[in-house]
Amino acid sequence: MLELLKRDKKGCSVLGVIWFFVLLMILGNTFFEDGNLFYVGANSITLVGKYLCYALLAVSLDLIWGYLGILSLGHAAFFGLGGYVMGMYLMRQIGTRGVYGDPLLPDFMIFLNWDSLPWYWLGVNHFWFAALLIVLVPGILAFIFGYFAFKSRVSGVYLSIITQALTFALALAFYRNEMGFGGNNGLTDFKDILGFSLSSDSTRLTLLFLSALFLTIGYFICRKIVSSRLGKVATAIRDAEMRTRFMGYHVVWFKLAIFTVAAMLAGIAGALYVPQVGIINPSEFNPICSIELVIWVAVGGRASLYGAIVGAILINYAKTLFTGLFPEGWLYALGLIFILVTIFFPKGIIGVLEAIDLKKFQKSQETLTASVENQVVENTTALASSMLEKSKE
Amino acid sequence: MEKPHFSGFAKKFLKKHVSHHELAPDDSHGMLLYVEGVTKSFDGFKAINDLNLYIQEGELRCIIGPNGAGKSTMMDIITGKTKPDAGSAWFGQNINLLELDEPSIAQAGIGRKFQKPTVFENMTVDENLELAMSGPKTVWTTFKGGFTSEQIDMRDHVLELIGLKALRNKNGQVLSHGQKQWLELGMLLMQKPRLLLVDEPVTGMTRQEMDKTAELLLSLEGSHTIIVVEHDMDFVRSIARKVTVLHQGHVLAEGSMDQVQSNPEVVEVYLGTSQC
Repeated sequence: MLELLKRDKKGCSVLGVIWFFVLLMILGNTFFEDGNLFYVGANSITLVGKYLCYALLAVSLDLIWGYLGILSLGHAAFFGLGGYVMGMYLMRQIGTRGVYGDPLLPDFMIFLNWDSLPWYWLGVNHFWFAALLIVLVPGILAFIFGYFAFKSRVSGVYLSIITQALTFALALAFYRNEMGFGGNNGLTDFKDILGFSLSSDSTRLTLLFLSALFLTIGYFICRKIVSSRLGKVATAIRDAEMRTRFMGYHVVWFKLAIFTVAAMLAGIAGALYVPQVGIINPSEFNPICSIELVIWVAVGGRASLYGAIVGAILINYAKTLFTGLFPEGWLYALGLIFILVTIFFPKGIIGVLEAIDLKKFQKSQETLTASVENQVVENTTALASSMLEKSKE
Repeated sequence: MEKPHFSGFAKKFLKKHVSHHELAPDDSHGMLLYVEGVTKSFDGFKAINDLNLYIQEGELRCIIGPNGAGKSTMMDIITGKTKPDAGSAWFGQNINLLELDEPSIAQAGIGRKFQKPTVFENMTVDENLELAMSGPKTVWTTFKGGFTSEQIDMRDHVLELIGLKALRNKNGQVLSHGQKQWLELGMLLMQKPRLLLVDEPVTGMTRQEMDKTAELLLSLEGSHTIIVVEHDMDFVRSIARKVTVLHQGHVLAEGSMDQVQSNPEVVEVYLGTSQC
């Protein structure tokens, strides 16, 4: 493990900066009063907590896109599923404090005239069980979906399109009231988690801390995978799948294992996200969310893992600023950023930072291989076709 | 048709999914590869037409034939990439190649070098060889990683054999075309195959590189069974013991280089279609 840290200086420094700010925020909230220059308010805490969840999600996408070549345009679905499980747990914690005061049924079920809890809501009031489901539900879905997709050798743009179909199907399903997940409105009005009030600053700080912790753990799990021989096999599959098969690797299982791990990490990110923002609804399954996610990773820099963290945080910070000033323009701005980055900095922000050193710059120009360029073309086509579909709707 | 017996099914399943890498060809009759009556058509075009091919243990066989003679399709069938419409293909007497997928066939001991060298450009020469290294190739074993000292020795030995020791830490992309071909051959050797299928090993090579490749292949003769598919007649002459001529998916002639070249049918096929 120590060896791993030593070889990953950049990743460690990115995480170091994050921890520095997280600790600063914790201190700022604990030791200073409102009005003081160093005081950190609840809004900033949840905002940063949210960014960190996005960062974990982006790392998990980079694992499968950057290292395995699977451009999933539906990866946020696993984030949504993890979020929904956490939402169900939080719903059950409301108890009699809901509008209708039913000790068992959440408000929306009373509203639908349901008289008992559906079977799939049973047990989620126990935190340990919910925690288990947070990784199992996305993991099992990814496994089943991946098994059929990889077994029938769907890859490239076609795989991207069916991942998008997956998230779209989930969105449609969750919008229905009969599904029993609150339909359009989703799950909200949460009160407390493990007995701690969600509106108290100390709970928020704890969630922020946990987000940073799970980001770190998730990052190192991914780092461990990509720097092992397994990671080499993954890159081999990315660069020449057929060739890897002829070397005796059963590609399906390799893809499946990594895809499932990535889905589980996304689920954890979603579960940490929901208590901080206080709501989960089907809009998280909208294909556009997954596409934005891909853009974070592309902008940050693919196949580096820490690039995904940088991209997720910077783009979301920009989004926060931009939507405050000029709300309608955000998607245009995002599209513009994506186009400019893929044309001028195919290796993303991380690539630019590395290129500041001139020597490294020349090297990076050399290593800008055809495979990266092809991938960019492929990805842009996939994005364009999905956007086209969007516009038809 | 016989009803599938459950234990038989279980055995077959286990053979296919669990213990495939323990499969070894049974060559007690001295034959390593049997291809019998294989036919494969694509949209009505018969790429392979009733093809019979027998390869002996330890043999170095060259396969020649004009473009479209079915050489690549034949390789695809042996390595599991394509399933034939009819016929059978056995590796030794016990392994039915038509039942296995590509990775299982590779694990059973058939290695293939492609026409276009596909070494991994973003990996070093060493890493390329390590990737191809024989041994269990499951998710868990690769995650745990690590190599035994025998494996390291083997890698260094192959590195020596293909003459790329000085470039071992260089990325695949800086290699010349010929060096890539050798690296690919090296990767093939790392798999410890019983049978090597080598598709056009000298395409785009200079004279010296060709000689070196011939030397390399000849040094493997005896310890490995090798099938070489090649267009370059001079090269074939320099290594061939026995040559098989394919034409329109069928074996046209088989024998020594001189025998084959004096065969009137072969002369007609070659002189009629190309300048070779």
